[in-house]
Amino acid sequence: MLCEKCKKNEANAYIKTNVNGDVHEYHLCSQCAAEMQNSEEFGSLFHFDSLFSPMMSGFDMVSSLLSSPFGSFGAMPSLTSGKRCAVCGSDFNSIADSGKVGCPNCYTEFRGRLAPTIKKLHGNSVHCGKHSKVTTQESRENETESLKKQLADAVRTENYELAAELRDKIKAMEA
Amino acid sequence: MSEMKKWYESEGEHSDVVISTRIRLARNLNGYPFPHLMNQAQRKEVSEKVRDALIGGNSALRDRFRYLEAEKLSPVELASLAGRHLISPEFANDPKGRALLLMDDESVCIMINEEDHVRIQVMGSGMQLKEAYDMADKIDTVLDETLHFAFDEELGYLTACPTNLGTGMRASVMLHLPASEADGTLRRVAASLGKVGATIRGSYGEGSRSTGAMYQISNQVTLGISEKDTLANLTDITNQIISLEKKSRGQLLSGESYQDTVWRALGILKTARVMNSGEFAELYSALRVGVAEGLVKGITLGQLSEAYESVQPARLMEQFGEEMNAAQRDRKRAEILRGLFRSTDIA
Repeated sequence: MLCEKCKKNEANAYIKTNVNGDVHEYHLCSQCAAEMQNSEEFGSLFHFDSLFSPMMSGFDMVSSLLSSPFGSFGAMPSLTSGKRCAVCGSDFNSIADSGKVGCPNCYTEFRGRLAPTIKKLHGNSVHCGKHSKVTTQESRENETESLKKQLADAVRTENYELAAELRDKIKAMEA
Repeated sequence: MSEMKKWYESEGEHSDVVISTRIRLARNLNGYPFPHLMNQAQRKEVSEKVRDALIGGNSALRDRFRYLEAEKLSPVELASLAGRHLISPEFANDPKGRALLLMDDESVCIMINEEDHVRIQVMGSGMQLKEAYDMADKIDTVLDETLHFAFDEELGYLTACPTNLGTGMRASVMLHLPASEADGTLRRVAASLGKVGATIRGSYGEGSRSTGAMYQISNQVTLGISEKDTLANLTDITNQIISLEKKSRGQLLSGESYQDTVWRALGILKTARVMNSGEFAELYSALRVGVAEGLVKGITLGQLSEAYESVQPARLMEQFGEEMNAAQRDRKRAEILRGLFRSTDIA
């Protein structure tokens, strides 16, 4: 019997998965079994093919070349606008292809394009819980800086009501 | 490996049902690609930075850790670490440019350059979610002092796979649920676990053999829920499953047939000359219930866990020679088990 996954090697492992009562049985070669065991045991709950699929549908059509080429190529320029991450050089296509983000900076660089996937996985949630100490301090400093700029603008434009509000905010943050 | 008593040789809370606890935190460094895009020089740099942040720091923890470059370990050593769930099979299969920091009692293993730059893993015996998290949190804080992990106010800790964004934490408990599996209680509960943010997975087996009724329950969501709430939620769910299992065990043990199963298992373990790992998993499951419920005397649950670890294939090869084939391992396994169970008896 051939491995159900790679369909190349002889199947020599039997894996039964039971995720929330959903039982699947697989006959796999040892290599595919090890891969699967890894993804199950160490908590990658989703396969990325399916994860990125709503965004990827355009590319699927391009690669098959069977469905309307105009429709899918029409979508290409905006999807391959060539923007690359300054740190790791990834573009959005390579992220969607591999299912893995290139580096921490990619989350800033491709924030808008990653947002639908993140929303699909986590809903509209915003992080709560532990904060990286240094980053939090830095980001608070940045926030105060930006409030101070806004305060200067408010004073210059004689918007004293806003200025008083901003002054109180800054005071509270620096306390 | 060190001679210190290992974490799995002790017994934690609810060890009649809860085998072990595990906390994993995923962390990354700014300024480097995630591991799947790193070159060897970057891998080395990150490994050394993480090593120095822990071992070079002033934390009291530093003397308890050993730094191991994965590519310098033999395939059997790697397989043995993977068998004890200290590293992932994926990490073991591709050790190049990877490293780990291992604590003396093996309760903490930090994988460097696995899917993320840093994966802090803390293991505990029995139900120890809070204790394990506290340790992971402490190590994370020590590392963060110098490494300044990649973090975003909205997305939390930034990870190679967006599934782990937020806390980057996966908390899980390994449960032994033979009675609720047998009477169908577990199947009913499992279907509703997704709604409360948890995932339950069955363990793996080879062939058509039993998987020994081992189940892993873990949190599903990492973004928008704090570590504290995640642990509280998982603890609630686990406690409910424990009480269901205990209720089912009461039913199961009220008849003669399960006692018979337990005592037969003991008989085989005390006398068998050849034992493959599948048969052992099945007997182990019955015997664990027997020891937990007082049907067997002369061995504790902690000793039983130790026995389980000591006869895993990679462990046997590590101790008795890498050239051992399956048949030789099956004979060695039976021999070790006969020794371990010699002074046990039915209660």
